[in-house]
Amino acid sequence: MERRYRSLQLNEALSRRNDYAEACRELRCILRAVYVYAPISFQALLYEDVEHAFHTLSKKEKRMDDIRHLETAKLLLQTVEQIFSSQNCTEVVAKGKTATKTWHRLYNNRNPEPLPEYLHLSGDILLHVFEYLDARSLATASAVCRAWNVIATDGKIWRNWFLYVYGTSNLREDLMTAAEIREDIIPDSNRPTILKKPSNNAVGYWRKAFNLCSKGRSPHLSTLNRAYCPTCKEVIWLRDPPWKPAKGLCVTREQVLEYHSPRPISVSQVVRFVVSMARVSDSCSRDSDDDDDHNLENSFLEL
Amino acid sequence: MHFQGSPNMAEKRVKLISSDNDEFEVDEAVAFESETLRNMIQDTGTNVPISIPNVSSDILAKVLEYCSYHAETMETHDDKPPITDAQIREWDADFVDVHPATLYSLILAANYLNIKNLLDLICQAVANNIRGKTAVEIRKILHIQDDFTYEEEMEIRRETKWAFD
Repeated sequence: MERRYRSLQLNEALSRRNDYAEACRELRCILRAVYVYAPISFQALLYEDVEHAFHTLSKKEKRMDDIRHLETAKLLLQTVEQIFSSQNCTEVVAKGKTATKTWHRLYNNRNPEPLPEYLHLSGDILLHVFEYLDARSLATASAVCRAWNVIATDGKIWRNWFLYVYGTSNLREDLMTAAEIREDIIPDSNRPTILKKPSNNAVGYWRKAFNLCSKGRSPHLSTLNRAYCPTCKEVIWLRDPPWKPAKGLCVTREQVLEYHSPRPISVSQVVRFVVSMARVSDSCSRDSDDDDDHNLENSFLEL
Repeated sequence: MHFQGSPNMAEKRVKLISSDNDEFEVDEAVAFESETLRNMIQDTGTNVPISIPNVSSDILAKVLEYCSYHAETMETHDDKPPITDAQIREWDADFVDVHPATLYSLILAANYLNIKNLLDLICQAVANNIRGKTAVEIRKILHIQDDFTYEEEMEIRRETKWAFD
């Protein structure tokens, strides 16, 4: 358990601005799930990482200036208060409280980013920016204004998301009908209902498909920086969107992503990974899983 | 303003002129980080100063700072250990830690000069600023007018309900 926890590389991630919030969240969930049962050495390790989390929050050079950083750290602090034994607790809670105060002193009085005017980004550039958003933020971006909505409908991005989250780009007929696409039907005796991959330029098609598949699902599915690599059998941090194969690497082993096809992973799956290896491979394979997070690879076919 | 490359390499120098008529001189290798400049230099040679009419001095200086650092990371020295990926990432993170207005000007410059890695880097930084914020917050930060009708906005929210829960 301790080894698997170490393989999550939470300690390093807590020093990275982009991964801090996610790492904090994972640490909190892991604490809740295992701390009381954990062996002393593992408890000590968790304790260290909590301290480290508060430490980086208050370090100016780490630039944890986003409100998300503070919020996840506060939640961590809450959990720590409930879980740690009284002696450990007072010390680390004091540290956490000092850290949040320092955060307010460092970042709260800043002027809220006064841009002189709206610098209009052209469609191409905005599209480029959107490639770096997670699916949830992308959906939010489409609700900003009409121009953004048009660009955030881009087929290529949503197709990539669809492929990444649902592991396939084949859509069943009922789904395509729902998305109002009825073209390109290929007769296939083995899998009669599978349609040919629609062209990427069908406007709004992939977004619709993604929305239809995501109805009622956990939005945690869509974090961009965490994935499970079935080849390495490890939970990894992604630096770039997974469909940028030239730069995207399995951070743990520096291997090119396209040979590994990592799958998105939610916090509760990360916890399960720590608790038991067997169960996480379940949730990433085709076996069904009774938990709320759905079976990722299978989820599409179940629709 | 001069951006020094490696002194022991006899390199051609390139003169660049910003929109406010400041002259910059850099090694050819530094200018070659930009696809646009590379094409221009290959067409006209290094004798003629190249004017970049839509990039201001402070932004051009910043862009050239990026280019010279990254040109430097490509060089190998026998006496110095090579710069690691982690160091480059750290440098890059510091580089984009600037005021959002600067970030936006840098995007336009990187786009015009066609410096792919810089554009990737800044777009990622802008995406990080947007990520996790609500549509209302984004509008406020970027001064974007909400031009949806109520029905349109509700329609979008209904479709992407999974994201707003």
